Order: sequence, then structure tokens, then C-alpha cells
Amino acid sequence: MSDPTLDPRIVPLDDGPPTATSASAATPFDPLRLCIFATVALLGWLLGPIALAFFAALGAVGYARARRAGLLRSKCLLGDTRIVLAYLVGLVALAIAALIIGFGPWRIT
Amino acid sequence: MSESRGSGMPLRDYRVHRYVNAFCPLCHEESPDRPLAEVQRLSGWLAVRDGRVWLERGCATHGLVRTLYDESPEILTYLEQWTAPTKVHGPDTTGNFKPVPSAYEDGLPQMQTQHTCILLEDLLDHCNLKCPTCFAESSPALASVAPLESVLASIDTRLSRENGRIDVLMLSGGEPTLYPWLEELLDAVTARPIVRILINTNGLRIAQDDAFIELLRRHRERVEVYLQYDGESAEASIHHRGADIRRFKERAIERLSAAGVFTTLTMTAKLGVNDDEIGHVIKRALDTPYVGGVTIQPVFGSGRGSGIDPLDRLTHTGVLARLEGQTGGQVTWRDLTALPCSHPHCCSVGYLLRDDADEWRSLTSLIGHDRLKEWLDLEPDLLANRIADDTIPAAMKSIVKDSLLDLLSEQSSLSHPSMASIWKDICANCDLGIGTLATLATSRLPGQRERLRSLLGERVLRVTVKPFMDMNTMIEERLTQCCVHVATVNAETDAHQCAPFCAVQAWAPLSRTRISTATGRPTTGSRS
Ligand code: SF4
Ligand code: SF4
Ligand SMILES: [Zn+2]
Ligand SMILES: [Zn+2]
Repeated sequence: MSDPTLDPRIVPLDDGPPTATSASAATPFDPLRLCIFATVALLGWLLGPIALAFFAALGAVGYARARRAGLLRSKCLLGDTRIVLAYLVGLVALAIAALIIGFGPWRIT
Repeated sequence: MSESRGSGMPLRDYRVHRYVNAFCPLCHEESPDRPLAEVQRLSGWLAVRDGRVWLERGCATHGLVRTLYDESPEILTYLEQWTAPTKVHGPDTTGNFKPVPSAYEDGLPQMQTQHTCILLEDLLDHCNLKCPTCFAESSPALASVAPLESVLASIDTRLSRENGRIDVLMLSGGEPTLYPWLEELLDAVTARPIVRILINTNGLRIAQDDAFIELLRRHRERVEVYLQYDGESAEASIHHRGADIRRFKERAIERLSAAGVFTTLTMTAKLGVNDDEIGHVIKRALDTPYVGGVTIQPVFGSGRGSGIDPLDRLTHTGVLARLEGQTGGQVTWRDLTALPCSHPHCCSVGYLLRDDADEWRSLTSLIGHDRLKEWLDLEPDLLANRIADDTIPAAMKSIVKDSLLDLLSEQSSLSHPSMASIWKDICANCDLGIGTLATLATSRLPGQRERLRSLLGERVLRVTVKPFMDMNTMIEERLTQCCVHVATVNAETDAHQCAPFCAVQAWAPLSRTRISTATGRPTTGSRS
């Protein structure tokens, strides 16, 4: 019988169920995304329809590429990438309309 | 006064699939012969990590011991849906509440949750081969043969505990075709209320002995052959059987098929040796009339040296996952369900049927998983909905359910008369397209039975996967629900009893109580 302490089936303690010591040593979670969300909201508020036009166009281009690459369904709530595309294109149109004639939250006073 | 706050506890890198009781393979290897009362049941769990299922248990001596349990958590979860109510058993010793495994020293204990679907009688310990992976540890040198009257007494004891009926009797060994009183035994057991009798053989005698084929043909209504068949490569044959004996296997298959004896090919599959030949074995079975079944057994480590890597081995779900790629999509894991009587990790089964257009289709694909579950009563809600919209009359529903339970149980013999009604129900209730089958199944004209037999022999194939457990994969709940029981003899009282197959193979003190070893006498070489 070979030395059982060398048997690969035995899990060394520091590789087993995590213990409190290894837990506190881990780096705390960095909630980077939350900062990004806030910044996006700030830009949207400051730039209004310009930001909407930019991001919606960006999204439309992105989804058009993805669809051409074969993505038929998105994790987006709308599901089918064709619907997502229609939605994004609609947003672009909405933003342009708001820039030209001004309506909704960006009513020209 | 501020104190820096810690981040709290991180998540574990695994998900607990199920909590289990297991055993330490290292302790076992250190002293495989230790008295069963000293075998420790350990707390543990099945952990899903890196897309695989690991069995982890805590041993006071060895700490956390981790071994591979199954290769696909997804398929394992799928199998777990297929459970049905179990049948009552008769304990061998009333009041035996000892823990596993020592409970089995006194036969089936009170805390067993399944009756005996398969009773396995080891007729003798010796064999005409010396397979390196033999779980019976048989060899030409070991020579003890159970007396005929002991075997019959053991069978009759079981009959008395099973309310006068045994579903399946499997004759095994050693090599059962070498049993000196096989003919007398077959006559005696076919006269008893036993639905199906299987002979578990390496096929050497079948390949060579004409009189023996005649004997099988004579009993073919009740007797089927389980023939070891490890694939097409010489490597598989040499690895599992110690020699290239493929030509004997081919001869045996031809002769059995020609004699109209229902045959199941049993394949011992091992990672890196023949795990890529599973598709071939299924194909061979699909193409050969009267080969009505294929059983794939991932090699397990009880018995003679196995050379299995406990961290990377072929498993139940691994076999299932390989089906699709190796059969060109003809069979996939979704075509099989867990055998509903044993623990869902213990066995999976699927039926393939050749329709009138000459295409093989699976029962599950024809019926649909949901409808199958509904018929099996596994999904009460679905069933309730169905009853509400009243599409199937209640009486019909219960007939179909019982038929399916029979079909998915080990008892089902393709040739048994009760199968006719099963096929009738299936054919009548889901447009199978096996019109001829339906016609034949409904008719009760004399002579039709033979035609039904040959039709079933050509058009039906049962595929099963049977992953037996060794100490690296052994969990208690599967033993508790085990339905494959090996005939043993009580070491103290000499009473006939039985115990789960996996337990008997794994623990030497139980293995010594197998009927062949316990009652066996050295052969004299002469037939009585
Ligand atoms: S596996 Fe079967 S054929 Fe091989 S030695 Fe064991 S009993 Fe004989
Ligand atoms: S013999 Fe083993 S694998 Fe088969 S049902 Fe019993 S415990 Fe499960
Ligand atoms: Zn241990
Ligand atoms: Zn069973």
C-alpha cells in the first residue's frame, strides 16, 4: 500500500471547504458597475436626447452585428434580436425627433 | 471607535447536490477484510464542481476524501425525476435494524425500501476465463460449486418472501454454463413462478457446444442470455478478458440469433479502453435479430485489480452523454429514463423500436417525456390537469401506467405473454406506426405468438446503463433502494437470504457468504 497521505483522493485542508481565515483574506467585492450606472444616468440627464441617440445607435449597430453573426435570441427581455433591433432603432428615431422638434422631457420652452 | 468590517464569508466553490452517507475508500483499501461492524458510515455530499459531480466524505483518519461520482450534473438531475413508488419487501431477519453494511450479514434488513427485482444466484466460483476485471474473482483455479438442492432452496426461500413470484432470476458465477447440473436447474426453475430467467455468460460454451444451444432453444420462452460483449477492438477484449476472444463472441451471437434465443449484449466499458465503442455495440445489437438488449456497465473497482482512476473514470452519466456522438444521433441520453424501481442513479433504460418505415425511434420520443411521466403517475399535477380535460378515460390510464411500469422494470421480458398487452396499449395509444405489431399483439390466434416473438426480436431493442458501485462511489441510499440481490447464506445460521449486489461485491465478509462460496464443494469434474 502506498503512503496514504499522498493519495490524490485526500483533499488538503487548504483546498477543502473554505475556512474563516481564507475568507477574510479575500479582497472585498468592487461594485464598479454601480458607479458606471450612475455615470450613465448623469450623462443622460446632462446630454438628454444626444445621449439617447448615441447609445441607441450604438446598441442598434451592436445588435445588427450580433444578429449577422448568428445571434437569434438575446438575454434582453425582448428576446428575439429582431425585436431588440426594432426597439433600438425606434429609440434613435425618438431621440432625433426630440432634438429637432423638442417634446416630452425635452420640451423646448 | 470604528472597527474595520470584514467582507463576510465567500461562497463555496461547489453546490451541494445531495447529502449522502458514504464510506472511506482509503480505509477500505487498508483493510478490505475488516469486520463489517467496524466499517464506518461517513457523512458526506455529492458536490457539483467544475461541471462534474464529486463524492466527498469526511473520514476521521483521512480527512476529506474526494472521488468522482458522475460526469454530468445535468443528466444526473434529469434521471432523478424518474422515481416511482417502491414495492414492499420481506426482510430476511425480522427486527434487523443494524446499520449498513453490517445489516446485510443477516440478509435484507428492515430498512430496505425495494423488493427483489433480480435474484442473482452464483452457481459456482470457477470459470473458463480469467478476466482481469472479473468481479466474481473467478478463475479456473477456484473450484467450488453450489449443490443443486442449495440453489433451489435459496430460490424457494426468496419465492416465499416475494409472495410467490420472482420477476427475474439471474444465473451467474463464475461461468454458469459450466454448472454441472444446469439442465436440471433450468427444468426446475422453469417449473416455478419465475417470469424471466437470465444466464450471464462469457459465451465460450455457446460458441462451441451444439447440445447446449439446443438446451437454450428448448427453454427460450423463459430463458434469455446475457452475453459479455465488450466491443469490436482486440484491445477491449484483451483488456477486459485477458485474451482476444472476439471470434468466440461473434460465433456465440450468430448461434443465439439463429436459435431465436433473446440475447442482451453486456458491455464492460472503461475510459480509454473501449469507451468509444459503445455506439458500435448498440449498432451490432440493432442489426442482429433476437439481440433484444444492450447493457453498458462502466467498469467498477470491486473484485480483482481494476486500475481505475477514482478521479477520472467512466460513469453512468458519462455513458449516457456519449450515446449521441457515437450513434450518429440515433440514440441520445434523452431516449433513456432512470429505471423507476431502483435508485435513479443505479440504472437507466430506454427502448428503441423500428417502425414500419424501417427507422429506429425511441419510446420516449414517441410518447414524449411529459406523457410518459404522466402515465407513470410521476407528475400528479399534470395528471390532475389531464383528468380535468378528460382526454384519456381513467381506466385506460391505469392500464397504460401499469404496462409502462412493467416495461420499464427489470421483469419485462420481450417474449413474455404480458408483453403483448403492453405493446397493444402502446401501439393503440400513440401513433407508433408499428401497425403490424399492433395487429399481432391483439390477435390471440395460435401460431401468432411465434410471429410476435420474431417481430419483437427484430424490431425492439432495450438499452440499459448499469453503473455498479465500488467503494469510491458507494452511497448508502442506493444500497437501501437496491433491487438487484445476490443469494447469500447466513454465516451463523446457514439460512438462505440475500443482499444488494454492490455491497456483496465490495465487502469481502459479505462476498464470502455468496451461495457458491458458502455452500460450494470442490468439483470432482464429473456430472452427476
Ligand atoms: S468476468 Fe465472467 S468470464 Fe470473466 S473470469 Fe469472471 S466469470 Fe469468467
Ligand atoms: S446493484 Fe448496485 S447499482 Fe444496482 S440497484 Fe443495487 S445498489 Fe444500485
Ligand atoms: Zn479513511
Ligand atoms: Zn428493479
